[in-house]
Amino acid sequence: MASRDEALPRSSFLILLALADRPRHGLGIVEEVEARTGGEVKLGPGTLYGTLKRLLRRDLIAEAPTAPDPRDDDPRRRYYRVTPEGFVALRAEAERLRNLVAVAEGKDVLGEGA
Amino acid sequence: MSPFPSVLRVLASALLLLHPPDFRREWRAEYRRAVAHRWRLEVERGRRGARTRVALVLLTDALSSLPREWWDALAGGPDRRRAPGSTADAPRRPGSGVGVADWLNGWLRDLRVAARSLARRLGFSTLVVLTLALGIGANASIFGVLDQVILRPFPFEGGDRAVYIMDHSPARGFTFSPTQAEYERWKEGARTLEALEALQAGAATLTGRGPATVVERTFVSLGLPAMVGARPVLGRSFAPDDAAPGAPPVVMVDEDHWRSAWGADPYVVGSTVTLSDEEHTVIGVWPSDARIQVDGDPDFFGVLPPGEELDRSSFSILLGRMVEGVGLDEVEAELAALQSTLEEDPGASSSSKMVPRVMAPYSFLGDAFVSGLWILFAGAGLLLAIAAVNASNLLLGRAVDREAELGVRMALGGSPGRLLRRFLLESVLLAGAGAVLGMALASLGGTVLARLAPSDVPAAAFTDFGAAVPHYTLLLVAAVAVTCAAVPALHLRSSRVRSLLSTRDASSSGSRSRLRSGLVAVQVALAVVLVIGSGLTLRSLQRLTSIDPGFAADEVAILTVRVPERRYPTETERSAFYDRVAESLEGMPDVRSSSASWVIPLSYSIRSGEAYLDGEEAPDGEGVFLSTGGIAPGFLETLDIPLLEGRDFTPEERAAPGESGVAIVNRAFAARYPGSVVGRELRFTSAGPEEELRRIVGVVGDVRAHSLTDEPGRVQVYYPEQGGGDRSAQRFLVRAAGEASALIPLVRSRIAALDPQVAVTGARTGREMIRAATEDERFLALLLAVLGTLSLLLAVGGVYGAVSLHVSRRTRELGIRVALGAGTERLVRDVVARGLRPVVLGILFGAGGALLLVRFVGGVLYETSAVDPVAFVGASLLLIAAAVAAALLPARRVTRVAPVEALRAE
Repeated sequence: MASRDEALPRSSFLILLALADRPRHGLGIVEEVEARTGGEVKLGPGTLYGTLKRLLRRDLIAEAPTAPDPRDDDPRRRYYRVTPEGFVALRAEAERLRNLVAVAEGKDVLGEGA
Repeated sequence: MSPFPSVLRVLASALLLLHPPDFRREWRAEYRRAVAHRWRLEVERGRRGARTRVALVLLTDALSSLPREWWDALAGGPDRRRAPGSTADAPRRPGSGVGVADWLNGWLRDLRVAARSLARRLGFSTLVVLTLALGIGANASIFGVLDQVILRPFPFEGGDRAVYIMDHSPARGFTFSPTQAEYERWKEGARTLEALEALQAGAATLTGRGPATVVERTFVSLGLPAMVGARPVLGRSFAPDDAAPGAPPVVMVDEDHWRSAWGADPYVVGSTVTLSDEEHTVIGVWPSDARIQVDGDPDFFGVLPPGEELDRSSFSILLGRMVEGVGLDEVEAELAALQSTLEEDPGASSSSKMVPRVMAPYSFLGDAFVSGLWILFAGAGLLLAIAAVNASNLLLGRAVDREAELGVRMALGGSPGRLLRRFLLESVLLAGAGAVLGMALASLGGTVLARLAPSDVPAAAFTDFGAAVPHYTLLLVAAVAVTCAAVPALHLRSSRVRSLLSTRDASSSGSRSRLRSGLVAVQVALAVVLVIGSGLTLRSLQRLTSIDPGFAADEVAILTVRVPERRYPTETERSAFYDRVAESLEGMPDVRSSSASWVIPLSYSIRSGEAYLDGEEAPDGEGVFLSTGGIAPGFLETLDIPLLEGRDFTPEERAAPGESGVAIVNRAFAARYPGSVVGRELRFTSAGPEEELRRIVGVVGDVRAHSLTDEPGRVQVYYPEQGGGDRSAQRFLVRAAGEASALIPLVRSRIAALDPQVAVTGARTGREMIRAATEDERFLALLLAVLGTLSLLLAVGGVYGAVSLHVSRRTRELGIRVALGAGTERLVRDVVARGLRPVVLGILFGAGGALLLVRFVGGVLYETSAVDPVAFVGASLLLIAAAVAAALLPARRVTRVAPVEALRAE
């Protein structure tokens, strides 16, 4: 089980973030991550399912027993949701990044001419 | 809805197959669905290129997830949790993770066995590793240079599409800076260029930090740093305010220079430096990996004022980035078309017409060097081939030793695949060790090479290996390993296995020794090609260095004196200073004569035009290329150019060079016309478009004006020159009473005594100038000779090995022959003759191959035919002699065979 102080790998962070507002299924996660990063991060199937597997193993996400979406063409689609431990890890990582951004702003790195 | 392309389906299946079996079983359906989903998303984004985008996503995803998944699969244990309700198609096998680990363990075990068996025969293994290290190291080293200089000279984004653009005069054969109008027109209108900026390389005198030194400073246009992605290491880059008229002068300091001369001082930004007597503020540090010049290493960067970037009095070039998929010719054509839309200069004649020239950056290093690099690359490839064949021969010998053991294994049902795997692993280990050693040799050799290399090639090309080199080396390792494994393995498979159990030296040995001889012949053939190539370049170099330059190179020294403009602001002051220098030089006891002349031989300071005798027909065609230059007082005596007829210029003629109407020609010109040309009128064009009419007053000896390889019949026309000058720098020629090199430090101290703030640069003797003119050829010849020697050693090493093996195998037979009274001398001769058979065959094939290949070398040879008989015959004789020596050594062991022992040996 990862301690709270370890930095989350990027794909794990992005997936947890995608699940932070509501449960989604795998492909929905891909769409959410792509939309939120302005098309920059395109999760491929290997990374997606590998990370989901690892997050499941660490109990940071769990399968969500939701009623299948009537729009789905596949009633067997699996949904995922964030667990309380997952939220803790997500919040810790977001705070870590926020602190770093503040330092960068203080040093004028994000100012003009970069 | 666009149909899902089959190529993507195939790619997805292939990538899925690469994943661990457990992953596949669990996520197969999801994976496929995700790929289809990705396809839909990309199609929504845009139909064009959707396939490529999807493929890219899949590939990069596989690259990052595969290592992780395999690691998980191998290290995974009981805490792996399967997601409930998975849609896996097949039922899971319990403990399936172990299956993967099992397979991997099998390989690891074989690897350990291979390593142990190699370690047991340490001498043999070391020999093979050394052999391969030579070949791989040479290749890695030269590929590194090729990569840095030709393939990707500029590390910035799109650097492989970078080009230099200049104006070129086809009539005169020279290049010039483009004009400001051309630059602006091209910049706004060129569709084949993504970006276009200007740069101007120059020098400046740095004072205030120790003795006055000359540093390199390159001026760049405002947009150039952004174009090449030069993000400052410290501080900032140039801003429009810096280039405004009247703005305080600013510079950026190059990162390498900052590290070496400033000790990487973190507070350098804001400090001031005095360049050419003007104070400049340092605003930032230019990153050293944002290189923009192939043949120079600027220490400082300045900014060109917008709207005035191209000032014809200094040499500027344009740096452009082509759009993808476009070639040099297309860009040239478009620029020429744009140029023709500009207003024609009314004074220009057809002979001064300029066309744009677009060139790859490395062409600045000269054709000789670039061709030489490719030739060396081919040569290194040959060397590696020889090394690989040599190694496979050695491995073949070893495999044969284990024939009996292998025969037992195979008879008992062992699989040949396992055998192949063992060989492959051994070869991989050997090749891998060879590669590691080879790379170490290459980096050691890199520093040596950098010192020997022509001076305009940046040393970093030899010592900094780009990312491409390790990848290339891996490729080599794979190729070598496969070759070395294939030969013995294939041989063993083809020989009948069961016969191996019964006899030892039986039928298979016949085919084996034929194979071995064949391998020796291949090595010799390849070596012959290299040795012939080496011989040709050596002959060419010898011819080059024996050219008579036409002046007294050993006694002459040349140097440039540069005065800071602030201290000598007017022309009068500068000219007066140069006069003082000239006087002082004349007064020195070791100086025979001196001359303040900008024109020197073997340089491009002499220009070209057309010349013919008035009254005679103009030479047909475009005009004879000729060299013209001004002769200052003392030029002829200082350089010891003989005056054959007539006289030198008078001081009056020199005082008014424009009106004097006189000229001196060289012997080659005079030889074109019967009788004496002195006193007759000469028509010629040089600087301006108009023809000049001058009276010939003298004839002097021929001089190599541009380079050592000038055609001997080139015409030279000289006009009188005042000597001295009023520019910021002046060149002086000095002739020593004794050795020129001893004179240089004396001259330096004399000039420093006159004014210590004045810098003396480019001090060299005439001999050094000539050496510099043959730098490229010398570098090529030296390296090719090294490659040739190594290949020779390897090839005759192969001969030695083959003969040695033959002798030890035939001990019994030889013993019998000795016992029956055969003379040992005769036996030795037989053995040697037998050993030489593949050598002769190899030489024949090699010489034949060389005949086909040497046409590629012909471009860099001087006055040497590519099929020079001396080189061919010499190389063949050399190889035969070496092979005889190599065969004699083991053959002589025959003489020590005691017949009784031989008969007993079995």
